[in-house]
Amino acid sequence: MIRGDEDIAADPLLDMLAALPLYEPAAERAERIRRFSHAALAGRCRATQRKSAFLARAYTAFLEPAWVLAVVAASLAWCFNRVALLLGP
Amino acid sequence: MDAADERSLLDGLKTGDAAAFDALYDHWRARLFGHLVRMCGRKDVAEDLMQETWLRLVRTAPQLREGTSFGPWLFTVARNLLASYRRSRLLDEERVQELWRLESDGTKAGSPFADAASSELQGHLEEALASLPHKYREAVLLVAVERLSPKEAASVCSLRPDAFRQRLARGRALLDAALDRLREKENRR
Repeated sequence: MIRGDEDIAADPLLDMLAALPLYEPAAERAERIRRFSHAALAGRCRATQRKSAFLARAYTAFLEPAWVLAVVAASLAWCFNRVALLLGP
Repeated sequence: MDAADERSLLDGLKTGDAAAFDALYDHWRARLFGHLVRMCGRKDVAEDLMQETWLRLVRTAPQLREGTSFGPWLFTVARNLLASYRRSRLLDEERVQELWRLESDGTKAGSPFADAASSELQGHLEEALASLPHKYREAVLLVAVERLSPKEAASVCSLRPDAFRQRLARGRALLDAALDRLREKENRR
């Protein structure tokens, strides 16, 4: 029964398997995989950057103090107007 | 590559660092490819599966959890892709063993193992491995060839460690028996 790493290290048959040769994909295929992965990596990062840039613009646009003050002032004016209309002359 | 190096490379990968990808790719490429070739018996299929495995890594790198052990993660993805491939193409054990029947007929060209299996013993080992049922071959390869710990290999196979050790022991016994048969066949010649 194989119980742990030490049993594997002590097993001559499994040890022989460790000496089996490594295989490599064809060089051009290995290079193509690398290029594809780099492209996917760059694409993903550009998408993330675009998303971040959009969020940054949205944040700046909506939380700009002047905008906030203007929106709050307009909302208050609208509320006073409605209340005045409801109360009547 | 130690755990700290691996962690920093994975962090690099999350930020889109191509150099981090290259370091991981260069370190694991041959081990992953060898595993896939031995599991499916076809070099072209192994190359396709390997490409998909690395692309999946790139796509999912940002979601990798802290403390993810890269080797087992990579082999788990490759294992799932191989399982999908086997389901879709009905790749059976017959085809893997076919390579060795061809070789024993004297037509060595075409076997993905032929070039690298330089010694007779290595040739026998490869042939005996190819004759093992899929799940036992996987267990033996992960631990003995790819050098994952039994615990890591158990996680790749979605098994409890004790269940995996039983599978490994059974695989080892089957491999031993297959080697004996090959030696007997050799002696009769």
